[in-house]
Amino acid sequence: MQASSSRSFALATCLALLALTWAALRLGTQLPFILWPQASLHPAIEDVRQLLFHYSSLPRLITAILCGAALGLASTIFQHVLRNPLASPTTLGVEAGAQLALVIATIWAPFLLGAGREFVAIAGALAVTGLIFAVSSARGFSSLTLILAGLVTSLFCGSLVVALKLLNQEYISSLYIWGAGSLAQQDWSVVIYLLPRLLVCALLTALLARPLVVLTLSDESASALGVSLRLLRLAALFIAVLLTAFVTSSVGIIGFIGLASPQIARLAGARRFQERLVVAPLMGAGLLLLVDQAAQSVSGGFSDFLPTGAITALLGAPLLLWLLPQLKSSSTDLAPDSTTPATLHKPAFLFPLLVAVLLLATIIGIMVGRSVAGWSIADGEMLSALAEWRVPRVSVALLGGAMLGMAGVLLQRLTRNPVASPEVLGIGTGVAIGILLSMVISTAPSRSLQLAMSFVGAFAVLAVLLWRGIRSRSAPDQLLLTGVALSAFLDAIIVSFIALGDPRAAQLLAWLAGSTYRADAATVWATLAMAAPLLLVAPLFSRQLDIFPLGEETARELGIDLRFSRLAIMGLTALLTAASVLAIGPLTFAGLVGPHLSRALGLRRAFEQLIGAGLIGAILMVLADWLGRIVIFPFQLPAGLVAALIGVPYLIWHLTRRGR
Amino acid sequence: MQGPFRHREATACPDLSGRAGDVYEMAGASLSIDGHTLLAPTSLSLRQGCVYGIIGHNGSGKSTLLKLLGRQAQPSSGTIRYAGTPLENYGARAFARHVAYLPQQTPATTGLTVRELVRFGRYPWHGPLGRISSEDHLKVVEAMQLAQLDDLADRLVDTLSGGERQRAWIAMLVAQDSSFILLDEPTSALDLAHQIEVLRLLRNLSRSRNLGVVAILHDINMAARFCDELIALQKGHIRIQGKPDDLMQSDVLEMVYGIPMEVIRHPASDAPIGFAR
Repeated sequence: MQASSSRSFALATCLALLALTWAALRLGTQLPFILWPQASLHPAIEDVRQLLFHYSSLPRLITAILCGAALGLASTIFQHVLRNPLASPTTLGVEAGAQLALVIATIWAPFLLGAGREFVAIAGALAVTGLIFAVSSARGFSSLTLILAGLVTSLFCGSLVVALKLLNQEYISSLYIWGAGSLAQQDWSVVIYLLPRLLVCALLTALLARPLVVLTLSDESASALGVSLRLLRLAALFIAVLLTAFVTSSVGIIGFIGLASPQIARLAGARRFQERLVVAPLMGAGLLLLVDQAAQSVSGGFSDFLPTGAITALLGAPLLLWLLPQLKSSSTDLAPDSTTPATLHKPAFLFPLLVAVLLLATIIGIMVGRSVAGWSIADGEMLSALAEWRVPRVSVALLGGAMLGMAGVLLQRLTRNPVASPEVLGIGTGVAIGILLSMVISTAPSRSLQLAMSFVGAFAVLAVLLWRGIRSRSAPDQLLLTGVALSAFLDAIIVSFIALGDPRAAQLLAWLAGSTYRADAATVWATLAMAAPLLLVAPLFSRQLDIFPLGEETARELGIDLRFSRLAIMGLTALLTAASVLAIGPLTFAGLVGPHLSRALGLRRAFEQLIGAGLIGAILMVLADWLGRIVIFPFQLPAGLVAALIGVPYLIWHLTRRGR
Repeated sequence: MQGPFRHREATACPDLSGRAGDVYEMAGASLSIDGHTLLAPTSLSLRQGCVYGIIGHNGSGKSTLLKLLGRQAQPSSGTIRYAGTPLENYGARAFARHVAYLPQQTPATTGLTVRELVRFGRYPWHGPLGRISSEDHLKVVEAMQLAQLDDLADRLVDTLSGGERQRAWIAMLVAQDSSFILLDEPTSALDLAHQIEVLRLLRNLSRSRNLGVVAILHDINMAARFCDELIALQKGHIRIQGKPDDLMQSDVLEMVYGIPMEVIRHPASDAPIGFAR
């Protein structure tokens, strides 16, 4: 054991030294070594090289080391306390929460930032942590659910950030570079800000290290040893959240370094928690420094603009793909929505009711609007004039919502996981990449080129999902995990593109927020052509979907051809999601909310739940489209975003409440 | 009809003498995972209409044997035939019409009523899209009656007691209308009264419907009382297979369980009773 601990430490030191050497060599080309002492202490004002060294290169280097170490430490604590090898500030959504809080403060309450950015970031990070904690404690902290809840929250916070940026175009570029985790520095302020705070956290961790080891045991045996688990856990999590918030508030989101370093430390032989507490931060510092050097070498003159965080995310996706199979599904993961509706409603009443609500929403969506003079209900001539604009977007929203609702039911029943949603399949990101490519191919991409490339993007992701599906013999968990890793990977590409400051980024951003603005008659027909067969086919799988939640053994026992049925349902889910993403953009939260709401209404059987979720999804999207049009008139909010804003808070409330 | 001193619940199973052809046949079937042998090559034949008890201590390969029979796992070597046809030649539903399987841990059944659960047993017959016939309805009703679930039909399965829940699952297997039922420790979580209730149900089903029942049982005395034939496994090998009376010998039990065992006779019924010395 002694040998392994010193080996892991030596390995981490080697990595850090390697990174430092590279950094030194790079700096050596900037400024001769002889001048270093002078430049770092008292730079000569007339020498630009020395100034650059003192005010940019050196602080950047130290910032990278500090951030890497902090993230490594935070992740080690998260992974240990939550007993989850995949926990990290990125995968739990803690970084995204801090970022969201900071963006909100930047726009609406800049004075708060003056008072102390870290408090804003801490508040955001704490809110997300509390939420994830609440959702997953209701489910016994099962590993997969925890990570899925974290990623969904992360996506949700991310889409909110996109929306806010969209509405505040003037901040876009700088907000984005920061959001993507840029380590570029102009002075020592970040270092001065980070260093004391991180030291305090490190000290606190050192004090807690010994009692925390006990958490390796099960809860029962740990309490038998006389440790107050609840307090200990909260204290440790709080430190991890602080570390994350400090880093995020000073440099933005730097994904996956945190996830990677404890993992590598463990692989290098740091088996005990105390060893990892030392080795992982060292690894993190070395890794981030290495990546940062790579980012600077690759991007050359653009180094200030290509954010290091985007690159770590690129590197992180393969890591995630490789690590994910380690997550063993526990029995709590596999409980279907573990909520039993209080009342067993008869669908006979519900379906007409839902259809009526949908009709009403559609009529409101088409007829009611706002004008400068106030509310207006369109009729007669005005209606026929407006219909040309409003009917297509309402129809597209309706069809998209219905498809998402059904896709959600398919996915949740197939994977037996209540937090599975079309969102995590990565199809939305695939389409975004397609649109991005169309912008690269042609400076002014035509609508048809965009559509064609979107198709290519969606189906490329689809192909990867199905390929992994076949290879893993249709294991449903693999579908989720592949999707998660794919979206993380593709997302990094998009973030880098936007951060490069391309003016076309705004266009992409608008699409990312899930808009229905551009829907026209042709879009409606195309969407209908895709939606109709898919919506009709989905209910044909009801009987299998009823049995799937009872588990693999029972399904096989009852004579279900698992490989075929699962692959068919995976394919159908992916097609439904792709079709809806093409219609209403990548925000597919309706697919997460629809199934839950449908179930909460008492629609328990697969067939009922499918139809109910389809109707609810449609209602949600039509209403979201309408609300997006009127709330901030004369501006518009994208429908997908509004749906997320309504749906996700409801869902979180639902998940935490029902677990008790 | 069941007096307190009866030790055998019914007369011998119909054709243990082997006049009819064997229905289930294992020929040298084995399972090893990563070089670790869970079940050594095993040959076995089972007939319809009999109750088989599989005994042995933990890790002896009982569950593996049952999983292979139920096609929940593929054998690493050897073949298993049902009615003369290798298992892999059956379609998923076709096989489910012949053989039903109850896993050791029955999964959570969120929001399912007893009737809905029992109806799932008809899936092998009507399939994903087929019409649900009056025969399907009839079998469901019949299965629920047999398992005495009529009063519980509209209760949620999750709200039932352990014994009731086990009966509901067995009713699902009965509705499946198969010729064989394989059960992995159907009585492990039940109290004594419910154990007897479930085993008696299986026993009666075997007699009334010419059903082959293969169950893993932990309690040797319970197994001896309800089974026509016992199969004792040890370290992945079948050590002995025979009628309960043949196995209820102290030296045989000692070999199977690996601890000193003794067999005495019940003072009133003269039934053999085994216990650890």
